[in-house]
Amino acid sequence: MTQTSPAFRLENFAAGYDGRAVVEIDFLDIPKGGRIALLGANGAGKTTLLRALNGFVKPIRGRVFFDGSPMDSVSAVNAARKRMTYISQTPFLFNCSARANVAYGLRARGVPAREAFERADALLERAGLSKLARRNARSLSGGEAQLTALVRALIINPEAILLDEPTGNVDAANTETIEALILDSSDARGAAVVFSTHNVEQARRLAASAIYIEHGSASIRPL
Amino acid sequence: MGYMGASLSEAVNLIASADPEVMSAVWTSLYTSFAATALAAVVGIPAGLAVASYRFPGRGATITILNTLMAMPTVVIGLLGYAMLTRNGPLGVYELLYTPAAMIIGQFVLVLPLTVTLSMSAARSMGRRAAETALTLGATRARAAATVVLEGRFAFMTAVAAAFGRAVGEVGVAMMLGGNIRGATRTMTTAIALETSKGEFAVALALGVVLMTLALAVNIAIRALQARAGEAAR
Repeated sequence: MTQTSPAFRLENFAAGYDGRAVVEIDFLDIPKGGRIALLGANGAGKTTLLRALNGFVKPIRGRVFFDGSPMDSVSAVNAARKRMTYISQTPFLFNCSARANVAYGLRARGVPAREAFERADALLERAGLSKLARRNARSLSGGEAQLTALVRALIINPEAILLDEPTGNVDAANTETIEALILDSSDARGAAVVFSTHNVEQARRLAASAIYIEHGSASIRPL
Repeated sequence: MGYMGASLSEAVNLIASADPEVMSAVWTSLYTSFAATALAAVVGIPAGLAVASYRFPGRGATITILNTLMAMPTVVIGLLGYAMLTRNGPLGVYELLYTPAAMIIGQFVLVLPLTVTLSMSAARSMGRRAAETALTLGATRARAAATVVLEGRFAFMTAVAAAFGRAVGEVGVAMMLGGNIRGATRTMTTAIALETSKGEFAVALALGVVLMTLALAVNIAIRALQARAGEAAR
């Protein structure tokens, strides 16, 4: 990552579906290593914004930059995606063991199977999921699945982490572990974190500022 | 009723004694249908994935054509195949008419739209989420596509099983492109038609029993695969 450019920059940005803008942002910088909460009512456009940052939603107008480079072509989006990660509200776990799920991103980067699985086991242990490592990921509870998806995303050491309600259906214990992992990724490894939540207390615990999306327009304010 | 009973009893004997005529028709049906289905899977599954995943001009028309082709009578496909493969046809030089290869080509054309359409549905049901997840983890598009196939394996296998069921049970293509030649291109369905017209109900019934058993096995396999696919899509 270059030192000068922010993790994300949005310029004259609007995104939505079928040509109709759901969320509009004139200008926004998300700094490297920064943690920003996304707040807004259901349907306000939080998921649309997160998916636009990841390249799954193409802006209706304007541009999204990742580390100074515009994400305006398939190759640019693919290159940016290799350096960031996105976890949806209901993460999709592959129909295999939890450790194979966690190792997936490493295998996709050409890490040999043995090393990928060793690193997956180590990270699962850190997240308190050792006992579940060899279980089929589809048999995990909602909280365990969310945590496994986060571990799977973090193993690739992403430079940016996009999380759509990361603790939406998670119990208190798993919420604590997920929040600790998010803070560690940002503080120790310098990842930018953008997460949507309905929980203002959680937003305050994890971030110093928030993007409020109201009536389709977004503004950034301190928490 | 007595006549039916006697024919059925003789049919069972023919199956139990592995009658060469019956076995030859069973074997021809199985290997031509397997070959056609395998080819359709190789072409149809990637095509189904592509149609489900990409927006391209004419996509709607492609889906409409595929749906229309699924309902195409087998005898019409046989007729078109005949026109292509007959000595004066564009592919007549290859002398494929009345050979197992012609039957495989015809059955391939018959089951391809079904394979593409069912693969498309399978890819739509869970493929997008699997593909997006793979991409967010840094997979290339090719690896993401392989992941979708692996994740949807039971649904894709259902498509293949359904295609095999259609291929093995059809008569129009086998009759018109195979010619119902004894020991070479005579399948279970063409043999049933012939033996019935000759009044040889025992042989026809024996083959009918084998065909029904096969249809039952394919349907049991499809139901089991669909149950696994439903689990996998959760």
